[in-house]
Amino acid sequence: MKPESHDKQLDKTIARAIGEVEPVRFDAQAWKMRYPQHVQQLTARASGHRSIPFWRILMNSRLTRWTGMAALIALAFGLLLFNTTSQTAWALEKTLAALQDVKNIYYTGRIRNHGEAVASTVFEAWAEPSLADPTISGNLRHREGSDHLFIENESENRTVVTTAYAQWGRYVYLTDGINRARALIPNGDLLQRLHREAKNWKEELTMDRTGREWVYVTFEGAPINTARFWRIQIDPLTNLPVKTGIWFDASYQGDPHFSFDDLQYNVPIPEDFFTYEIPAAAQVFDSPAISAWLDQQQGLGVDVMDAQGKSARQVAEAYGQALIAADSQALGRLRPLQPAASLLRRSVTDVEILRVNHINDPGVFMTVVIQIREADDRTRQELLHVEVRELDGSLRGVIVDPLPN
Amino acid sequence: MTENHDQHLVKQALQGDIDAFTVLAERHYPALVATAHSILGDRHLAEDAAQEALARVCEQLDRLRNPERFGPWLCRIVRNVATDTLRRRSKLVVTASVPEAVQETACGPDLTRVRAIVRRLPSRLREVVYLRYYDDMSYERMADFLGVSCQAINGRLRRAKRLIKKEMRHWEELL
Repeated sequence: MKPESHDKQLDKTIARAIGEVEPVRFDAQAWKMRYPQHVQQLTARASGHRSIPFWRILMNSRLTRWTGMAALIALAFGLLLFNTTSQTAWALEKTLAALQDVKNIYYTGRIRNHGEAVASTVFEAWAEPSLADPTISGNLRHREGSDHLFIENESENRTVVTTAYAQWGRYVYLTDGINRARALIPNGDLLQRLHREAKNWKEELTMDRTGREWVYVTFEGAPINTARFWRIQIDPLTNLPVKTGIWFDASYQGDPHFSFDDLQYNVPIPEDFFTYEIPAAAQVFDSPAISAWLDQQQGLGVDVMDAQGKSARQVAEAYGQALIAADSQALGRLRPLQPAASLLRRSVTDVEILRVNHINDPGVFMTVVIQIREADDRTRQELLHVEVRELDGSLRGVIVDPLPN
Repeated sequence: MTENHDQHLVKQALQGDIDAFTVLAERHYPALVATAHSILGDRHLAEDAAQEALARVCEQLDRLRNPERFGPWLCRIVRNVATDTLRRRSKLVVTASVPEAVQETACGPDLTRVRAIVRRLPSRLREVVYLRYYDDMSYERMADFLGVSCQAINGRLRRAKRLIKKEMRHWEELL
């Protein structure tokens, strides 16, 4: 069979396998009936008022993967507790009504190890509900310490993640879509489960030194790490939770293992607050563009088993060996976006892997810090970004860098 | 041409012209369904995702900064809707993976195998395969929709076909 006819045969086979017998046609009338509010929104070009009946946010990044969950659980638990109490003035309906007017939320929090504050895990965030699905966040700005930030922008449909390193400067990762927000228990299933599993529900109305009343709800509930003793502070004037803490033991003494120290609602948010201005000196990883570029290459990287830290280490080791051997071909395969000549300007005698960070968030990469010893015995550290993906039909690990402009 | 025409329709839709929006929707609907199908592996779910994506467009259209990039913007929305759907269904964090299971159909076992091979392709390659073969979309339309060059489309398709051929040969050797 000639190559051309073989290709045509392949086209035909794929078309038969993938192509749809039933034509794909848009039924405008059916769609308009299904989404009357959206049609109305388009035709009216409404002002964009965001009224949310009930919403929650869950981030999926590093520490915040679960800290966000905790915040939502805390908020949600607060609601549920009110619902189960007949003698309190904080009925679920009142809280739900209060949440109707919530257009954004601001919170700060921190995690401590057995009472010791861990500075790197102090975080704060601003979030607005998604226009498309008010049960999750749409616009979100989340900061951890002074060096890590991510911003989700719903209208731009992208998430920008940025980390600043003292040694290497600022790295910016542009990722496709809103990929840190998560819908948690939108139908209340998890709430119900947590409610069922919680023990020792207690509510207490107390007065602080200024004479202000607060409601404290305590219970043994869903564990965060191994901490499982919760306390939620509610403002009876607004019916909204203002603080949450989770302790390792039921004494509630000392600082909580995990806490939300400040929950605020409807805070002023500056315009463009959910847009990230990329600093001129930043190294920008346009993740979708890098992915698209990689998809078009052949023979890159090394075979790896999975997208875990071990594979990142394996790639870094291969890279180190190529540096020591001054093997420009291998370097071209392992780190294709850096000219091999620039990597081999100085001869290398040793490469040591110092740190491997495996982050499983969309649009960011595993990172490996290596220490390179040069022939004159000088050392320098390098941050490698390792991507693991299917290339040439097998799982390959490759070191990526910003695409050239 | 399509791009320019899209731009004009987007402007009309921004003024509340539902007919202009409908034309846009009709034009891009097959690409939306194909893209969602490449992620979800199911026609009905893909249609749901495409329709949901159009609903989101209604909400967010006035925030589209570059109307000339309507196609790629739409593409990103449907990818996200489909990925969200997949997440909800699997209750797992999803990266680019898709269900491996392929339903047997009346097409016969060979086509089922081809479909399984396509579903194991990297997501961006699988996407162009679906766009190309799902509704016989031209390279120009695909390029407009994905926001890449025709050359890139050609490269991706060639690479996808090479991988499919390789897998098919592998199967033939096994049988």
